[in-house]
Amino acid sequence: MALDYEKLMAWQEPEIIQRYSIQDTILYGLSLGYGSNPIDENELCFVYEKKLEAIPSMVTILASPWGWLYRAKVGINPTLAVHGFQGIHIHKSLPVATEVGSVLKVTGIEDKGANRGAIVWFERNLYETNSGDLLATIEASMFCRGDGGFRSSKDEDGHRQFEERPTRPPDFTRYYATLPQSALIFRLHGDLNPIHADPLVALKAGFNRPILHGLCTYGMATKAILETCCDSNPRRLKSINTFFSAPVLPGDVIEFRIWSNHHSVYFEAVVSLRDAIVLKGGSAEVYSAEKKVGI
Amino acid sequence: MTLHYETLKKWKIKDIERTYSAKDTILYALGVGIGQNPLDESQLQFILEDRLRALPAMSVVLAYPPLWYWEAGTTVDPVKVVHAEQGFVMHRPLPVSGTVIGKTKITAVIDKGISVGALLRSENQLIDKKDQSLICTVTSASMARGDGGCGGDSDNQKEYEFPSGLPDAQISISTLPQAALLYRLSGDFNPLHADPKHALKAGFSRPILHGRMSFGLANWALIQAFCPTQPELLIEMSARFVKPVIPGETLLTKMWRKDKKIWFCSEVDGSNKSVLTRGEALLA
Repeated sequence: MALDYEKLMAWQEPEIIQRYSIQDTILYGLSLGYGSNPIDENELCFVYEKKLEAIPSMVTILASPWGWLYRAKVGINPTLAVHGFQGIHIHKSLPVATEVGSVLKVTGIEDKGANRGAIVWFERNLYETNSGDLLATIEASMFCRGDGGFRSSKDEDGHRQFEERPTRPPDFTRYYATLPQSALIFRLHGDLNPIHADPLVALKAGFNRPILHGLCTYGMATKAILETCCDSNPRRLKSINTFFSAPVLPGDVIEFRIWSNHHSVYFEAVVSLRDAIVLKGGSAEVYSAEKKVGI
Repeated sequence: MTLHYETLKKWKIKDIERTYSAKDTILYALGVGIGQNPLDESQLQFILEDRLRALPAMSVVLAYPPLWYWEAGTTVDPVKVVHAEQGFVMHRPLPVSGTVIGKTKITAVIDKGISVGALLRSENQLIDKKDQSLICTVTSASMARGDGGCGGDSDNQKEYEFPSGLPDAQISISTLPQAALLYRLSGDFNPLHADPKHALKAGFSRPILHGRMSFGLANWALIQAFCPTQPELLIEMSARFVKPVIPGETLLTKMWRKDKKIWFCSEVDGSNKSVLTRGEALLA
């Protein structure tokens, strides 16, 4: 079954409303590796209810219609689909507990050719139901490896382009270890795709063991940017975008390479032990110490 | 104010009702460190919803009245109370989700003398709300260190006969530096396990692991050793708390078995720090 372009572009996903608690916010922090030094105040503020703050990338797991692309039945082969791009733009600081809502909209579909696949782009605005305030705009793509060739000519220009990588060596490098059970913890946020947990399902999808959620790697990249460029102050992060280029395996040590140019940051992530570049073309915008996201 | 024996013996502890989901059951298992080998089916049975089982030791945290001795009028000096013993008897396997009711009563107040304290024994019946069946009887003892010399019941605890010889099984389980932070999401939010300043005030150099978590680790060690694919076979378990585990330490559990009966003790691996003693368990 070929990808149904018209049906997918017109897809209407129902609104999702989610109430979350400080325990959910703490679990999100723990799932990114915060708390691995349990007496460091700069980590405890993301995993302990006293002085608790939410990590901005938590917006990616809130009010999310997990698995919508497979439920939509638009001719996508789900076992071959992988996370392609993730980005967030923060409008207002995320509360540590509240009720949020969002509606997902498909924004574009690229045809990369029959042998490469199709890229489905979508976006959602996350708002607080109580105040109606817009919290974040979340943009993502799925790279559907088995569904290219639905058009006569392939798309040369992407929906979003890679940022140019600076030629100098990275200004900062950070190493974070994932845990063997990282994916098992991360899936409690709601993405129950068995490719992250069931060894047999992972094998069928072509991986020799379950792979880590792209959103977990993305959250760890956010942690790296916060610690390197924002003094661990979540209100100083304005946006963060990245492309996923290879899966991370739970237990991997990820090396984040960061280039900082005033308020604009470039980054990528590598698992050196397996010689894999896992995040490519990453960029972030940060505020200076004085100016911050609205509270 | 000193402990008043008659008041305490008649003290009514309120019933607790708790609804829990499969997600809570999974979070508990991850909290005691299960999933460290994410390819091991005997670990995944406690983690994946399509084959989920509850770790029996989760029974001791589900509907236990938190710190009931802090209520006004118990006559106990609550600041000096420490958790001393923990045990359970399973009457049927713990459901992976549902609503349970915990009915707790004080079963004994034992005077251990002015220099030691009063041992408060309680029993918590965990009942399935759906059909009112008894799932588990949880036993617990706390030492009220400030209330010795109160008079009270005689201690009829039986002798602990420890088997001789080398252990039949030894299992060591490592804990993460952030283990207490994850475990506390299962419901015990005592800052002693998270807040470095609070831990210092209580006399510890850093936050300590929950005693019930050490108990859960030993429970998992027993299952790994004797019934890895049939955790429901472990139907009874009890132990005494000696010293707390610091997150990041590895707990070594030594086990002796004779027919259905198991004796065990747990210590911090590579040190002589004893964590659980007088451990006993029974297989179905």
